[in-house]
Amino acid sequence: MNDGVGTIACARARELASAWIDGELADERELRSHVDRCAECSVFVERLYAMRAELAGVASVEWSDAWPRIAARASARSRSAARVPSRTWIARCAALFVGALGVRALQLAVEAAPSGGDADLSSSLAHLVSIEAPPTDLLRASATPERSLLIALAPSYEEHK
Amino acid sequence: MTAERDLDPADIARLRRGDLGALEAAYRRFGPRVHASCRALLNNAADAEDAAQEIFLKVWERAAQFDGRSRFSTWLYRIAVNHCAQRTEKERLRRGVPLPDGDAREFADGGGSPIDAAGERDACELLERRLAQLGNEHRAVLVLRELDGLSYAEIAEVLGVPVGTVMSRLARARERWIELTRAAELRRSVEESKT
Repeated sequence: MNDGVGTIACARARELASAWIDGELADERELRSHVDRCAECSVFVERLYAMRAELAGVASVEWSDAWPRIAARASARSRSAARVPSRTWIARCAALFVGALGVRALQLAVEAAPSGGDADLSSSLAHLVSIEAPPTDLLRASATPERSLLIALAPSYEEHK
Repeated sequence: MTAERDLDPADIARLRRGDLGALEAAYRRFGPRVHASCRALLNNAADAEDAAQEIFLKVWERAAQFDGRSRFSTWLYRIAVNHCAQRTEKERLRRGVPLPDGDAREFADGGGSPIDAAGERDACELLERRLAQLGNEHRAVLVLRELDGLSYAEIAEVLGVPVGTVMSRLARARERWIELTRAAELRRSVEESKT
């Protein structure tokens, strides 16, 4: 192998030759100049063409039509995807549920707040979040299903302390 | 070699909407090439059959994510190459084969056995085994160019590397292939001289 024939070395010439047979070489003068003087690189170019012909045999390998199996599997996956709610949908439902619980908790807090003449929503809210007045104590005043759920979900006053 | 025509835009739109007929159109157009690429990348006919099916199922599941910024074929081949790479890696881990490095990689990670005269009955199988003796990177770039007919720019997009890297990898892959071919010819001539 020549380290350099003309202006470029064999390694560079082979890289150019590889691009040339792919039609990806814009200027082939440098390559031609080298290959005209280098017998080994000239043989390399011939080998590249032989290789292409060989690999064409791999490309034309026999294959069996797997479409019926792919179609069946794709349909099955579509059906199962349709049955299972998407994560986005689950997240939306969860957000709605939490939101509804929050609204109901506010309503309950307002109902359970001291009914003094100046009692308003802000004081009820303060009552709800105050450590001195644990929310569970307020909620236990009623036994509706919503309140039972809130009691179960809310941390106990003892845990809070 | 010319790049094959891409999937029809109307079929792409139908595929994105979940139309099974459009998936069939994609399979009819690209199935043989994808299958041949899988055989060349995995060096196993049975694995290639299964891999080709899995690749089209991934296309089916991810079609809505195809944004049309690249050719459909480029997107499909990216899925195919990644799928085969993942499968090869899983198989390597399953067999407990250490990851080769340096020059040893070129001959070690293909999983193919050395070429011998007794195993050369099937010419196609021989070529696949020779491909398997290339490193993963060289095999992928060669398959995408020679079997799938992708341009350098498309190969660069599929593999996520610069075009210059595609050019140099292809040149090295071809040099290695030619070395292997010469070695096989030499072995064959020695075997023939013995008989």
